[in-house]
Amino acid sequence: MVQGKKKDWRGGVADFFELPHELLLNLSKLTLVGNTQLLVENHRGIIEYTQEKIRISAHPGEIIIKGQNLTIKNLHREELFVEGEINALELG
Amino acid sequence: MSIILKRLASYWTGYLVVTIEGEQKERLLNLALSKGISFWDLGFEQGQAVFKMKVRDYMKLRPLARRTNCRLKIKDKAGRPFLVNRGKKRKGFLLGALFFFFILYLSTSFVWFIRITGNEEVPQEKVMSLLRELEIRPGTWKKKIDLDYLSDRLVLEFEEITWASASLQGTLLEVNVVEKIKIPEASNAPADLVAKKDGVVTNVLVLAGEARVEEGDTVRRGDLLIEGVNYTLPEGKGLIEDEADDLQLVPIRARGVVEARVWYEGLGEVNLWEIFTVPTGQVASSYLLKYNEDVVGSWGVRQPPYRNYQLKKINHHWVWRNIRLPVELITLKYYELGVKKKKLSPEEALQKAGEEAWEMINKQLAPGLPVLRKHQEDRIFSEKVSRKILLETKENIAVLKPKEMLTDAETGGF
Repeated sequence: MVQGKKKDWRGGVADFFELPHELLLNLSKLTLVGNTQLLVENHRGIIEYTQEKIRISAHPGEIIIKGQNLTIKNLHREELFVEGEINALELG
Repeated sequence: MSIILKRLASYWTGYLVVTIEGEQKERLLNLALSKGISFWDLGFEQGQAVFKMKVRDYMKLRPLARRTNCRLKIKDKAGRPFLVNRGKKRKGFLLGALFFFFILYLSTSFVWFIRITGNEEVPQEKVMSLLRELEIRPGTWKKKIDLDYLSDRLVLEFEEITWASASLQGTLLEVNVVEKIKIPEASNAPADLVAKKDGVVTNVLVLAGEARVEEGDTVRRGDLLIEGVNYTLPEGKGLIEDEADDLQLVPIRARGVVEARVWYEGLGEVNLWEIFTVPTGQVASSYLLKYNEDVVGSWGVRQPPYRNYQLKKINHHWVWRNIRLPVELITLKYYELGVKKKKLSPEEALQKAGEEAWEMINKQLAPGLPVLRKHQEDRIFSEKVSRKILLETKENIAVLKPKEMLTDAETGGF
């Protein structure tokens, strides 16, 4: 969702200095451990939440987690930690 | 902050288990997040979202719930503050717990066990009766016991005790006593010195008594060396050669040293053909089932199936607590042994024979004796070898033998 021109020069700077993209481009960072744990940093809120499907608003777009017995272990302003059996991860 | 620390902190400050119901649950959560409210352990139950949150955030959540048309409900209150509250309500329980610890503490300030160690001569019962006299028994308050006085009294009361200590270890009173060691009195009964071994006398030193052997004499075991007698004159008579017959014999305890050369012999014989057995790895088992000493069943081989075997017997009982079942299973295991022969070289065999000979000598020889001479004799036959070792030592062969009390009639005949 970052606009064309903006993305270009910031991305360029980040690439040139080998800086983390999530800091410069304000992107979400996802850390997946096996298929049981997922840490989403820099999210923008929950859209939908059931045991089988969790939709999270993120930068950019949306993260859809599908699986079984999904629970959100921690929910903070910046951080979201999902546990359960994760079968699919969709980024849109 | 790690997750565990967070959990501990939330336990300390207290937390709520909250359920929300409504169409816009997710919007409520997002709104709350933007206000800086955190949640954990979010779950989903029958259209409700269940989660945990801090107590002080709950007040901030309520207006948001109203705005999103969600229903909030506190399912549970957990953590230290609520536990304390509950404790305040249940005073009786708390009091009981306190009372329990108080009683536990109180019971440790009494002596419940008494252990007496180190007494062999003084009977346990006597020490216990002294303790009773001092009013020390299981159940006595520890502070009432004067340990120093107790140990002093023990030493004073019993002649056999030289030193005593009393100490408290928890609820155990340990009394440790040290008794006098009695040194057996040196006997003065009349005795002779006789030879304990065969040998040739080299040195005679008489301290008391009359020598009956001299240097160069060959003595056998049990021969008289120094007789425990003393000659005294009858009263009123001087010593004159002719009157030697009048001398009176008085039995005394002989003392002295008689050194002699003593020989020790050791003989070892070893067959050149060494026969030994090796397990072949073949095993046969048979089982016997016994009921009250009667054999009621057996399985496996009846008789030992091998010519040479080693038998291992395993008895198995079934015991439950104190009850022993009358059934017993006996397992007999036969391990087959193979017989092997090995021919030794004469040198090897002699070495072994020598070891045997030395073993034989060492059984007789007192340690620390000086060896004057050593003689070795080897013989090699067609089937076996032998090694003979002869040692010559010099030692004191005198040993005390109590005199048989002679009757007057016998002494009269001397």
